[in-house]
This record gives sequence, structure tokens and C-alpha cells, in this order.
Amino acid sequence: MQQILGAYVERNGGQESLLVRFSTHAIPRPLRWQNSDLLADFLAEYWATLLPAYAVPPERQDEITGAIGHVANELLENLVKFNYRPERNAISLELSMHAHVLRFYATNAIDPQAIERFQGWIRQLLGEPSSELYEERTRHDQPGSGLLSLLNDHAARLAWKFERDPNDPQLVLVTTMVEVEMK
Amino acid sequence: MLEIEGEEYRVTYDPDAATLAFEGTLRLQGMDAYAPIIELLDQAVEAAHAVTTLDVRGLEFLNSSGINILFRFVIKTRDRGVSRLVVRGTTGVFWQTRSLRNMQRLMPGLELELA
Repeated sequence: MQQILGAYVERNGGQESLLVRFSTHAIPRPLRWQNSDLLADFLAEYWATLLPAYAVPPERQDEITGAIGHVANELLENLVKFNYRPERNAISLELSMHAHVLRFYATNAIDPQAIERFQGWIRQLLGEPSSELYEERTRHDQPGSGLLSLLNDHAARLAWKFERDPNDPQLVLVTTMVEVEMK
Repeated sequence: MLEIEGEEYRVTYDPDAATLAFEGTLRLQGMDAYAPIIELLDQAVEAAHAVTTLDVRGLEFLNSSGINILFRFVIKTRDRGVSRLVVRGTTGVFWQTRSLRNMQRLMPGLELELA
């Protein structure tokens, strides 16, 4: 089983990459939340130091660092919130640098009961003008506003891959890919 | 002056000046955690000031749940149809430029002051 939604690009490490993988089941969520904040800040600062070496124009570096912090924060919030059977599956976030884009890959296990609904929501997200959808979601307080704020506020591109966990075939993994323009 | 303060943030509502001000970093966990702030914003909507000012110049980081509550505040103000809304932001803070312009798409009469 493998399903792709959106213009998904397989991981290839790019020019360089950083992968963080961690388990979330042992510690209650409030503390986990704080640690996710720390990790998002760290990732933004880590990549900020590399941007000059990749010839990112100086006037864009602050903006891109801000985007990295926000995208990483949203992805980490979702990973922690939605990872299914966390005692069996560690979540991961990978960032890789490519010629013109920085790619994020956020992977968690998903509740099999939730797949269909989530995919319906993704199709809606990929198919409709996001500002109208945003208002709709804002009014009714439905989940997914984080992904919409990525689309709307950061001009980031999103795609998803669903696949069986090769190490634990009963689990389905979903990887959210986000691309942020560098130049 | 009404005030909500957390470790990393401060939100104030001054009814006399009809001004809401946000400072710091706001990344609370989900909409429930934002309930006290939503209540404060609702009070400002209910007060039906002639002009309401939302000042976010000091708000350096905001997660999507936070953006969501600000958008809901704008929609409620728009739908009530009484107040003009002035939003003060800064181009020096990453999330503000695009998110605040998106607010204007929700409420075309919103007066955005980006310095």
C-alpha cells in the first residue's frame, strides 16, 4: 500500500540534511510540547547558520529562518498530537537542502480509522483556494488550520505519502512534505 | 486594563483605549489552551467600540492555533458590523507580513498599519 497526494518528492538527502527521530510516549504532553518548541527554535537556528554558505541572499535570510521556525513548529505540533500508537512508533522530522528549496519530511503513524477523513481533507486542501477554506475552517474550528496557515502564510508547498511501516506492517505511516523556497 | 500573562507572552485589553495588545511568543497547545485569550477578544467585540485597535507589533512568534484565534476575532468584528478595526504590525517579524494581509482578505475594511 502506498498513496501519494500532491507533488511529493522522495527523500534523497539533497546537498545536506538533518534528521531528528524521537519517541513521545513516556512523557506527558505538556512537557513534550515545550520540548517541541525548543526543537523548532533549534532547527531554525541550525539552518540559519548554513544559509550564507548556500548563497541565500542576505535580505532573505531572516525571512527564511522565520519560515523554518514556523513550519518546523507546526509539523512538530502535528507529529506529537496525531502520532498513532506512540509506544510502537517514534516520530521523525527531516530537513534537507536542495538547489532552490528546503524540504521538510515529517513522519508519524496514523490511526487507520482516520485515514479516509484525513485524505478527504487533503484533497480539499490541494483543490480549493485556500483563503476561502481558511475562513470556513476558522469559523467552525475544525482541525487542519496549521496546514492551512502553512499554505496561506508561508507560500509553502505541501504533499503527503501514506505507506505501510516496513518494520511493523500493521502500522500505516504518513509523511507530510513541505517545501519552502530559498531564493 | 485586563491582562493575561504566560511565561512567554502577555495579552492586554484596555477598554478605555479600545486597544488589544499582544507581546512575546504564543504557541499554546490547541484551541482549548487559548480559551482565556478568546474570552478577552470576545469582550472587545462585545464592547462594540467605534474603532478597535489590535496591536501585535511585539508578538514575535505565533502558532497556527494563535493565528486562528486572531482570524476568528476579525471575522466576529466584521460580522458584528459596528467597529472599525485597526491592526498594527511590523514587517520586521516574519509571521506578520503575510498573516496580517490575509486578515485584510477576511475583512476588506480593516486598516492595516505595517511599519
